[in-house]
Amino acid sequence: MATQARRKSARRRARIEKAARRDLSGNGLNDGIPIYAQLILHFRHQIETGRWVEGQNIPTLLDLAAEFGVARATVRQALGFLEREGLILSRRGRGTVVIGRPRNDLWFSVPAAWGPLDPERGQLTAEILEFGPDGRLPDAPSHIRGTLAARYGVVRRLVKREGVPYLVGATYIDSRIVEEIGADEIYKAQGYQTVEQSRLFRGATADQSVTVDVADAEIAYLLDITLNAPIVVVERWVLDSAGTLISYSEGRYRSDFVRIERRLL
Amino acid sequence: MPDSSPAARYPAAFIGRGLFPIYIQLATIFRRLIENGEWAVGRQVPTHEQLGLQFGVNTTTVRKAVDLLVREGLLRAYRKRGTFVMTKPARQEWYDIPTSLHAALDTPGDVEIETRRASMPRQLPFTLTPSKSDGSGYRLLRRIHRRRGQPICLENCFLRQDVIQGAKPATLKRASLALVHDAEPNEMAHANATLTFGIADKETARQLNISLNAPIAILHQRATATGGGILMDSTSYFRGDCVRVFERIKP
Repeated sequence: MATQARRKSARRRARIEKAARRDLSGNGLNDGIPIYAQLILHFRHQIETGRWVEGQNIPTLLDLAAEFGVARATVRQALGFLEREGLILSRRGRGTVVIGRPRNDLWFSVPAAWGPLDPERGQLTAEILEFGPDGRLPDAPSHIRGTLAARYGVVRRLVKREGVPYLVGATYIDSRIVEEIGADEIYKAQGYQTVEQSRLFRGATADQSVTVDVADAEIAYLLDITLNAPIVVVERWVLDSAGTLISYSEGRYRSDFVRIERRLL
Repeated sequence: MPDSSPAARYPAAFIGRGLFPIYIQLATIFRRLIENGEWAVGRQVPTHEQLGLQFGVNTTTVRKAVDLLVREGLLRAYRKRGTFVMTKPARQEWYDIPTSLHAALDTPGDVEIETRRASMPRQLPFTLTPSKSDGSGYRLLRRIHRRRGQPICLENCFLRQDVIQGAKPATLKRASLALVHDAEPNEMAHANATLTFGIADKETARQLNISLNAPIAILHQRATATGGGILMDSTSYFRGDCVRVFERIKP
């Protein structure tokens, strides 16, 4: 009996892994993501971007199955998920219609200057995920120049805007600043406010980098998005006049909430 | 003092939720730990039993997650000695998306732009209205940007027809904004750029050689003429894993 169950689970695993290896676009590994989950992301994006128009029918099950070379059951499974999200409605004999769009009017533009990153702080609520005197500075996506301080205090927050989670931000601050300004202040204020108050900030330089990544299980959970959904990473680092990294912050945003606008001429 | 070990920071609560098999969710966390250096290259990772306890999953699930990363070459399991971190996920060199005019006119030395097709567009995007003053229409350039042979960006560029009238093949290898700037140095009044983010659809994925749903960055550039009207309206789709916007925010 046990052997049989084992065999069955081995077969199931083999099947999942085979699916995982089979990328819909035929370009190799897709991180072992089940096909229906890939379809959900794709279909949702079609609605978000307006390619599937609200009030209109989406392509038929048959067409979608043919387009992606998958079983109809797989497509149905993905569409069922979107139906439970309230984005589409399937009507017997009349096709499936788009009835809603995921909310994406909460975007903000990343500024190219020192100061607050997010506008309209009033609408924001923050939940502290981590707060401590001994932060382990991560190996950042964009490499950091400068020498490291002896120790960094860390604050990590989940920020919601109008109740919608949109940012997981971590700020690492040189312990000398923590001592100078006080841990209470760091707990309460935004990272940039704390750093600005420090004497070490005089003559300091700051850089910013914006990159794209995908959500791991924790970020997906906190931001209430799908695993592997795109996220935007905004990093800022401050070097004092001696070239020491006195502050590093990393914000992981829902990608549909962020844009960058620059005047070139 | 709050506990800041990975177990405290990654409570098990979020594992097992959502669409994905638990071992795949767990693998994304392990991958992140390797990426940010918490699991350092060359070091041994906790045992399957320890990880199972930390994340509230059974050891079989841990093993499957570890196996996934072993196949990716990030981890390696040695009999009797445990599992070790071999390397970090490969990170490509950054390509800096231009946010200044100077940068937008320039093409990096290792990047080649191929104009695959220049045609009369069948349809203009709604952001473009054919300029009435001189009656000239637009051309659509379909371009692909390659860095050391690897496709990095697909671009659809609408250019006012006179801008590329009689352009030589060598000219067509320049950045789109440079085409405008060269042809009409005094006519460009404004230029702006907007960057948004999304995921690759089937066609984009195929052409950029990335997976369906892989993250992409979408650059929209636009140049306006002094007399009004649009000189150029271009949309570029960059593969997300190697592009960034880098800026000095405090000199």
